[in-house]
Amino acid sequence: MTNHVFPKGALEMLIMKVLSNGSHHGWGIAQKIHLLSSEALTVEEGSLYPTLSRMQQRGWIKGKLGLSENNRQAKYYTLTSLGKMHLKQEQKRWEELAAGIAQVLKSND
Amino acid sequence: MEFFNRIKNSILNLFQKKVLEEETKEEMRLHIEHLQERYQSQGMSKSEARKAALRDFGNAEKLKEDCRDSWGTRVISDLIRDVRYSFRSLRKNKGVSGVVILTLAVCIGVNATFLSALYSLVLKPLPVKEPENLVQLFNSGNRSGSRTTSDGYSHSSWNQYNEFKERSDLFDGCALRYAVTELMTVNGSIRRTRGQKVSGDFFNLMGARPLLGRFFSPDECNPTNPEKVIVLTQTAWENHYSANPKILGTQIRIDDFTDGGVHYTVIGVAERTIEVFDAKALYFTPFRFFNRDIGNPAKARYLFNMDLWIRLKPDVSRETALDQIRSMDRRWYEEIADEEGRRGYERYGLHEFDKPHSLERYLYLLEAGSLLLLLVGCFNVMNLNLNRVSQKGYELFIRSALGASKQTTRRLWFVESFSLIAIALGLGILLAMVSVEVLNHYLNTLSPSTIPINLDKRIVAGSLIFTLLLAAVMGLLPLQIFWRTGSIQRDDRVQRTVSSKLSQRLSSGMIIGQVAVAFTMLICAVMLFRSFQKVMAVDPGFSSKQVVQGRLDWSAIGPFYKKRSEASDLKQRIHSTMKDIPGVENVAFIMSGMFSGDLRRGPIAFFVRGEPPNESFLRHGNAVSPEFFTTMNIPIIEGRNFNAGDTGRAVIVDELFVSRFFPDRSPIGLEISNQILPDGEPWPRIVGVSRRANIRGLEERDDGAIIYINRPVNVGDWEYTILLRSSRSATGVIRDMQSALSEIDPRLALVYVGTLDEAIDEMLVGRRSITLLMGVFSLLTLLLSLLGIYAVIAYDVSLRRREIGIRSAIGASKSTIFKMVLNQGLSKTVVGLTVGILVSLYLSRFLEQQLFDISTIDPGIYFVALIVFISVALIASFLPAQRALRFDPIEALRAE
Amino acid sequence: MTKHLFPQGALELVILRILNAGPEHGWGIAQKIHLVSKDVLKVEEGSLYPALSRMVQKGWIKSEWGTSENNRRAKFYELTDLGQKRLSEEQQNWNAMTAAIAAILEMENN
Repeated sequence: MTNHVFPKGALEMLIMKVLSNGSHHGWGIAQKIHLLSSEALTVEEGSLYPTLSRMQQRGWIKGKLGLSENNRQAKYYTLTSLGKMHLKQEQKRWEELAAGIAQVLKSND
Repeated sequence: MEFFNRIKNSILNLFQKKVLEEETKEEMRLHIEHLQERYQSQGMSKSEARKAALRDFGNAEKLKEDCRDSWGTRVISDLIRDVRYSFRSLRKNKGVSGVVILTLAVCIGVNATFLSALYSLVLKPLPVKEPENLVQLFNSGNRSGSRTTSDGYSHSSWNQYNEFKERSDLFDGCALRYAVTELMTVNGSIRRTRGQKVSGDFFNLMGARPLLGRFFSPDECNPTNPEKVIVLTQTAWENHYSANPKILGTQIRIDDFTDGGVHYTVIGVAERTIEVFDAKALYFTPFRFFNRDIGNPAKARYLFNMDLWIRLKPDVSRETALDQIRSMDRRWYEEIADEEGRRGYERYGLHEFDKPHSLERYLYLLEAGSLLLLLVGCFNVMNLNLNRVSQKGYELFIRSALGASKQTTRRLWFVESFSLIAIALGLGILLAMVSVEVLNHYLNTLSPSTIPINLDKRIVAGSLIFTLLLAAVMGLLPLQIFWRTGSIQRDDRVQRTVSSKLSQRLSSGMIIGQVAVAFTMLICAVMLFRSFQKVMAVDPGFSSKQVVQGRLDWSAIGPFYKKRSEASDLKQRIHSTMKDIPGVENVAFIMSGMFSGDLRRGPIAFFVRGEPPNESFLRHGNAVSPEFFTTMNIPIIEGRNFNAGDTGRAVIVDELFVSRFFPDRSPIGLEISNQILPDGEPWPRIVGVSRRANIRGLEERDDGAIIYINRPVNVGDWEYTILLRSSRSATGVIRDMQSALSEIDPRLALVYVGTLDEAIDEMLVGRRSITLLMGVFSLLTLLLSLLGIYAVIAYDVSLRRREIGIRSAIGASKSTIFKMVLNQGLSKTVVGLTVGILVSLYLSRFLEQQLFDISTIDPGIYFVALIVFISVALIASFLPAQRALRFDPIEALRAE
Repeated sequence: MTKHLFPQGALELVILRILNAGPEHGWGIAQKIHLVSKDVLKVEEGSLYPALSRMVQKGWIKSEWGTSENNRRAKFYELTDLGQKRLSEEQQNWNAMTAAIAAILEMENN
């Protein structure tokens, strides 16, 4: 399966979805997205960390220092309640959007 | 795919920018109108609708900007801006830029020229069908052990052609070709023209095609066929017959010296590619075999000087073919050849498929010189560039501190270097084009039948690639070095530079390299020059001043004077007429002309009557009239000259002959011959000994002692040369010679006529040109080294301003500082010279072939070269040393 | 329903799809997207025209001036062969990606 690059809007949504299942550090989030999509989706560091920082600014996620699996210092992120709310919204919006696009793609046959 | 589209469109859009802008504006306007109408239809007023539409549309300027970005023209306009910027900064440094451009232009031009020459003359395959399978057979004379100027290669003959073409197991065909000079009537006037006789299968073998008409049919190649046909070359057709499309079927008159004048019918015009065999021949006619020499098998087989081309079958290797040919020849030698034939085999029975081009050695040598020049040039340019970067280095560091990306800096530097080198490339190619023309002029003199060189497209493309590579290295390498290893020098407030140990070591290394190369080339050039001098200084043993030589092609006349009495009658008339020419003091007749290379009766054994045969006697012989020695001012040192009564029985040998074969006795009176004569027949007798004369060429040394025979020129001889010594100018004498001869018989024509001095000159042309060229190269490298050393020392001094200032503040005298700087230059040069000495000692071995009478390890030459270089280094360091003296110590201290 | 802005890459795909049915001018493309998506999708002119320009540079579509239905001058765009090829590729890519995202979204929360 080819690797797909992310549509920007969807990245925030997926990050929140992953974090809704438990806290992870940045690299772990990218890993999870990659695995859960059966390796269809790849997150580039260049987009991941700026997005995480943006989401932190808005208060959707919280970051805390901790120890990683190999006993290294890492910043772990958790979903805030504000974030949980936005997740629902974003998910809905995405589904509408995808449906809308699908509509256009289906038509004109 | 998108990538190419984008590039293509970027360039196209550059020209249509205005149109694109207009169209975009138009499109936007229409879209806004639509929006406006829609709002109006929803009930808004016109002005409200307009406002709403504009608001919806958003930021129009940004939209246009985004569209403009997508056109891709910005990349190109950015590039143009970079180029303009680089040109400005290059103009600021006119000196350095100029030096770099000139250096590279010369290096590139010279290399392109000699590579083209090498390719055109030596390396290029023949423009025939499947050249890999085509070989030319040479019967090599190498076995005879003589170092003749004609390289000892002899061509082939009808005899071999007939025999070999039957071997269809080995060969896919053979063809014979040889050049003739005949009298052709062109546009009403009779001129001597070169033509070619070819066997019927020649064109087929070469895969040549007719431009017009057709080639010879087997019927037309039959010598008994009265119909004579001719095929013109394309060049002849275009130059002499104005490319007349109706040329086929017209008749051309040619005198081919066997049947007098004959009319040939034009049946075709050959495509130009076939002219590679002889660029000056105007036509092809079917091969005619002269039966008169069949009586002499050795001649028949080996000495006809015909080109035999063989196409090997695809699965037959050259070794196999050569082996078979050698065994065929061997069989002929053992079973068919008579004594004369066997001797011919012994001389020429070494077969080869390849003959090196006569200029090959020279060309390789010159190309090697060009490459070395290029190397030195690149060293210099790199050094200059390192300096440039280091001087701008501070500015660069600041810039990157402020955020300019390395990418931008790299791009700018690359564009700057590339612009510089591109200009050099342009100039270099121009230079190459001019040089190729000059070379062609020389080539016309040295070997007129070769097709001229042209500047090969691939070489130009190769130069372009080389230029790109050099720009990449020159533009990016110094940056890398300084970024990795550089540190800012706080020298003084005015100028800060960046220095790097690595770059300094590189600089020194390159100077050492330059000096070594330049030294080697100087040694080489001096050696060539000295040996040229020596050749010039050789005493030829005869006087060539005021002597005119003219060669008659007797074979042209022979058929008309078949009777012996008629022939000797003619010779008498020629003798007396020549003597009657005003101003002529001496006239002599000889068989083999002066400097004709291989004397016809080459190295053959001879016998002394009454003594056991000695096969190791090698000598050259020439048949001369008694006036020969007086005409040429060759003294007779023992015995006497020929006199009128001697005909056929008298022999004069030269002193080399005596010292070699009769060192302890006088040869006068001995009877010698080149074959054991039957009993009763008188043997020729030695009557005199002459001084050594190098009548074969100035460079002939040990081999080839000469025997002169006073034997009348026979009907069967091929050449007949007249020597005239006169006090008049040559042109007048030559004119009189020619008119006197045509008065006797208009068919008498001189094949070659010129002064002996001209002939000597011609022989030296090759040696002279290469000495000259090598001299020029070595001067160029010397000059470049001087520049290189200067640049490096100057730079070094500027870096050490502070140190020098402090030293003089402490009390170092001016002379100490001066010496210190000079030392800089000297030390690097000395290292380079050491390397250079070693290298040239090693390489001098290869030069030996070119040299004449010079020991390759001549300390005198090395000494001179060393002096030259040390002076160069001192001169180069002089200016910077002077400048160092002016450094103010107070300024230096203040910078602390 | 709120109007959604286009995610990157989807816009070009949608344009390809619309032009697949026949040549259209810029205004017409915007209309069609709006209509067919039942008003869900809105394309901003600020993104439409640059996207069209990019696609022309890449060689996916080509443009020509002509007259529209109401006798107006308009610049018409149509698919090239290359664009046709790309359409099916891009569509596959899009489908795969949305499927992957959907997979994550449908994950059960513990």
